[in-house]
Amino acid sequence: MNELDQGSSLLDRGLSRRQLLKGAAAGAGSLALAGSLAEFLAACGGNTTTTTTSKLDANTAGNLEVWHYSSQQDVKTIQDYSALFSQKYPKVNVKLTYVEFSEMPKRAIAAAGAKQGPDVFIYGGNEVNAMYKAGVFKSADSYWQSFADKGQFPDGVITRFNNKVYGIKGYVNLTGLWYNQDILDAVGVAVPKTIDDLNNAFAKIKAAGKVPIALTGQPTDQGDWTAFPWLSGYGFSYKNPESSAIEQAFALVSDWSKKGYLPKESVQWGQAETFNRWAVGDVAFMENGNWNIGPASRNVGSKFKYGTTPLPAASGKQGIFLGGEALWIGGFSKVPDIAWAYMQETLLSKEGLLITLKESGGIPARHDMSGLPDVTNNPLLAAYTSEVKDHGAEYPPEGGAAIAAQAVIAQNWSAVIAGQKSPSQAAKDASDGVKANYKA
Amino acid sequence: MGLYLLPAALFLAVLALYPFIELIHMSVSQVSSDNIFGDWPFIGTAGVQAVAVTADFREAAVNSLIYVGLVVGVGLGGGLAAALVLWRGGPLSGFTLALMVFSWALPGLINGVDWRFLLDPRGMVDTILSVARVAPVYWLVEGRLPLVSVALVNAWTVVPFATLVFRAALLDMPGEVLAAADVDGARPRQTLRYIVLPLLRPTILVLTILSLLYAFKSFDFIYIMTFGGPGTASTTLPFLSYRLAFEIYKFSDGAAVAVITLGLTILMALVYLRSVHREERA
Repeated sequence: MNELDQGSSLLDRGLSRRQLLKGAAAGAGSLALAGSLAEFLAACGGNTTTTTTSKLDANTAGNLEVWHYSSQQDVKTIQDYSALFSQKYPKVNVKLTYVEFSEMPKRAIAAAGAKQGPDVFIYGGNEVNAMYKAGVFKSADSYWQSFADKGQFPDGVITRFNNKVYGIKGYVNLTGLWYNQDILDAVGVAVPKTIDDLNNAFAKIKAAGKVPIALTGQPTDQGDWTAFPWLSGYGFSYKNPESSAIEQAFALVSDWSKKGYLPKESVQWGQAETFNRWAVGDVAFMENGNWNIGPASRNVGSKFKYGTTPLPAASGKQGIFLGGEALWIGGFSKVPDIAWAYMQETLLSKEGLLITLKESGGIPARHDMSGLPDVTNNPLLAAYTSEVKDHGAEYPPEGGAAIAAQAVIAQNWSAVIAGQKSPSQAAKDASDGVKANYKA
Repeated sequence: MGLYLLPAALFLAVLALYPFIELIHMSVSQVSSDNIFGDWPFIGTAGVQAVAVTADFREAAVNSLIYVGLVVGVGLGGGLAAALVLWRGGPLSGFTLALMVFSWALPGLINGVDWRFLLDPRGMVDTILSVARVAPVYWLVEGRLPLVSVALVNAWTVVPFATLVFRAALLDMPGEVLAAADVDGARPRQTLRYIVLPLLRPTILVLTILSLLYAFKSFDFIYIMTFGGPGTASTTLPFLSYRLAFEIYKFSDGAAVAVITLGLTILMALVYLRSVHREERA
């Protein structure tokens, strides 16, 4: 199947990507329109309202392998999911296998070639389309259709292939703007709302001898993730990769790099390194995700005051990718019922999502958790919930069919920050590359 | 006799020949994630030809030449210099050699991560330079520096191996020839140029070919230190092959780049075998 056919097959799914996008925004946006504590407590009557596979009970025994990419820093979350599952299925032996994020798709595809693989994947990268086509996943559609709580999840967090449900995200993650309040106070600037505000703040911060901003400039999917809100704000989309829109965004970030607002070495930073650099305390802003709420609490603590705000947008067209880890049943799992039970008890359950929320700041996608005080009363999450509502965009874009085009954007984003290319040249290369690699 | 060769032949057939045949097969087929485990439509050499004319390929080919040139040149030059210094032995010489072997034996992954931190603008190299009031150098960011920096780090790992081989050759050098040069009043520089280097010629040839092969297929340092960037500034042919096959799942394009790279590597291996054959006959 060529790329044109891939695009067609997306349309053939019968579910418009725009609808998905709206579904995600509307569903997750309801989080921001918080319900009451009473509503939450009433709804939080335990997992008993959630159906599990009827064949399974506390005496169910077996082995379940779960592949994840949570590093040492946040593996506790995954361990806590498993502990939650083990409370209900104590005789199921859960084996957690760490696979580095970028290696996960390759290893999964290689394993599928040998008709092997884990029972459950916890994976939220942009290579799901390729993994699906290689047979890495088993459809969860039959389980999903009989899942009593399926109405609690917005359509945008469900990944379908050929109209069948495969992956479900229990929570969403996205990028926003973190700031060091101490630096802003010392320099005398307010939290920026617009790009002009941001540029003015950068000039003052730089003059005060501080680093204005840290963000990811890697030529990887993390770079694409970081670049997309700026690009889309000027009208870029993978279906409409106009050079002029790309050039405006590239000119903005190139200007930051040239003026020393953005360290050039950010071309080597992934999102974790970006956070580490910001956490040192001499960087005023960073573009990064809500998953840093936990690490910020642990690593920054009282070293400096900090907050989050929505990323300034050049226009209302701005899109911010809605990430988050989805759960998938392994294509060659011999215990798919247990795999589904694991999904139900962990990232699809209120208890599991509460773990994610408290430990890493993941925004629960369930409608009945929208009023949770941990969401509504957390000022760090407020910026993100408003972004979900106003700018949430499907991830991976175009159902994962734009992966080669994403690589082109990431490479040119990186080249512009490093000064390897002018904004106009990079914009032309990016526009041509996206057109050549993605045809909707 | 033939029976004793069987295990080695089987080993090679399974671990080298079969993947090689599959690679060739993939490069002349249309393969993506859609059909990686299905039928592969035959497209002949069209895929290889199409890949070879792309701007990405041309850039990667030029980068590969620069990279290989630096790794081989600096690696062998540094190895020869170190071997000459350590030729006469002694406790310090032994200690230095042990340290060099240690750095050579470290996996590329570890070396790459270490050097990535060392070459950061806030890392040790720039910190030391700042003492001499040198402005931070963006080793892994600006212009051709990322490619050059990674190549030099890679060359740094070639130096110990080259040193060991050169030193072994130097220790094996006929003492009477060197003594005669000394008696004839040859200066050290003259001894090096007219006695030592000609006698080292077979070693230099073998090391050059081996280093060329090693540098040409080098991947780990680029993956760890720059991921081929910024942009595509340090993307070489092996890394381009990886990106095409395993980042965007254009398996046949990745295989096509690998086949071209392999062709060049085989060409160099043939030169090596021919030179070994000649030396053996001599």
